[in-house]
Amino acid sequence: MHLDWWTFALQTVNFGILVWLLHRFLYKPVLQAIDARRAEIEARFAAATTAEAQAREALASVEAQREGIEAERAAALKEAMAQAEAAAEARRVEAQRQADALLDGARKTLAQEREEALDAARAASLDLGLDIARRLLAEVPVELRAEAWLERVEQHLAAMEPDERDRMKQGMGDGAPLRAVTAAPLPEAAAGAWRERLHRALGDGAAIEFADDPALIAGVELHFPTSILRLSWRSTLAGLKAEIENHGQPR
Amino acid sequence: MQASPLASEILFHLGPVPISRPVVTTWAIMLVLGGGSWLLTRRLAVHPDRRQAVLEVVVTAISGQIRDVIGREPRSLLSLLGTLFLFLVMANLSGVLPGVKAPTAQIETPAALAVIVFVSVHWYGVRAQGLGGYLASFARPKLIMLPLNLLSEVTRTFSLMVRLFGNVMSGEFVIGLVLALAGLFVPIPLMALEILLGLVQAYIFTILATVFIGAAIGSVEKG
Repeated sequence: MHLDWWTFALQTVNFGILVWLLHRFLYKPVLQAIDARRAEIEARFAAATTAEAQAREALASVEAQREGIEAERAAALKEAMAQAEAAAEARRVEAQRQADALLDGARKTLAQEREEALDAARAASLDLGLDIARRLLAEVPVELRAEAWLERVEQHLAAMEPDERDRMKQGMGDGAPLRAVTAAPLPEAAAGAWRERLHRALGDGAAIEFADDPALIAGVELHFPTSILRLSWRSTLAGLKAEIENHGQPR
Repeated sequence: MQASPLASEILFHLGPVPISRPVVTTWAIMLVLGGGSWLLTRRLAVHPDRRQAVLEVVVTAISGQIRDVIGREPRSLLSLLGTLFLFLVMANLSGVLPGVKAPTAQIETPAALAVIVFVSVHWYGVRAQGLGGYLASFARPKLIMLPLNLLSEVTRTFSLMVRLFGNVMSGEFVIGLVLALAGLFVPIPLMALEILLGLVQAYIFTILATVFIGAAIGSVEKG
């Protein structure tokens, strides 16, 4: 077999030239295009990754803001509830105070009205009792009434201390009379008995006068020169009325 | 006396240099591949059209095959091995055209390619492992293997050349004989078979070259 060395050499050179041609006009441009596309894809991927990271950060920020809003809302609600509770408590206390004041006022008014009603009832009962007593006394003969009141005077004078009785009789020795005032005029016989028994109780030298005053209702008043011994119902009723006016209990 | 059918036909001379038919055919192939590449890659864009997509499929397919064999980034080998494959495809299939004889059917072209592969294997091996490391690789796994390894470097290059030459040349002879004996359309199935054979031989030559280079740079087990 014959080998043409010129052909061999030319084919070797030709192949080397072809390698250069294809490297220059095929592989290099195509690989550059592929690399450019890959770089663009990687750049877009990097941009997408960056955008995703930014989106995640934005989402985290929004989440944090939302949590902050939730906390702020909870705090505002808590504060509002506390203020509402405080206001309700204040209103309740004020209402309680006003209710207590109203209740206290009502109690006072009620007590006052009750006192007034009680006073009125007492006064009415006093007037009724007085009226009843007057009617009953009117049916009792004046001599008996005079006798009863005379005994009452004697007992009272007898019960007094001697010094007190002497101070009462002071001035009677100068001719000043003792004036015995009764609710009804005493008959002559009763007046004699009164004069005799008063002389016995106070001394014989006393001048005694008799007078009548229907306002006494019943009983007697002994008008000494310097003092008055009241043993009449008028004085007793006056004391009762004074107690009623002072909202006190009758003695 | 009739000329040997295995001898290259001299078409003309450029000074003292005889220009044979395989050389002219190779120039034509270079013109087609080089000019076609220039035309097709003038306006490449980031977003490819159909033409650019086909180009990218071809380049990435070759690149992927190389990566699958050597197991590492193939760009440094793409120009040599990709050109080897494309040239072999064009050269092998050119014999199908009427009046054209495949350059690889003459012994000079496969011999030139085999020598280029031989030189490239050692150049890439030295570049990857250093001169000492590369030479030491011939003594592995045992020193006694050194003569056999050295011999295999020659024999595999020779087999690379003869395999390509024998297959393409024999295919063309068979087609020529059948055409001469049987008639115009009878060799068509054989021509189809020749196309398949040319593609397979281009693939085998390129893959073997890739394996040899991969073994030289240490990414493929020698054997």
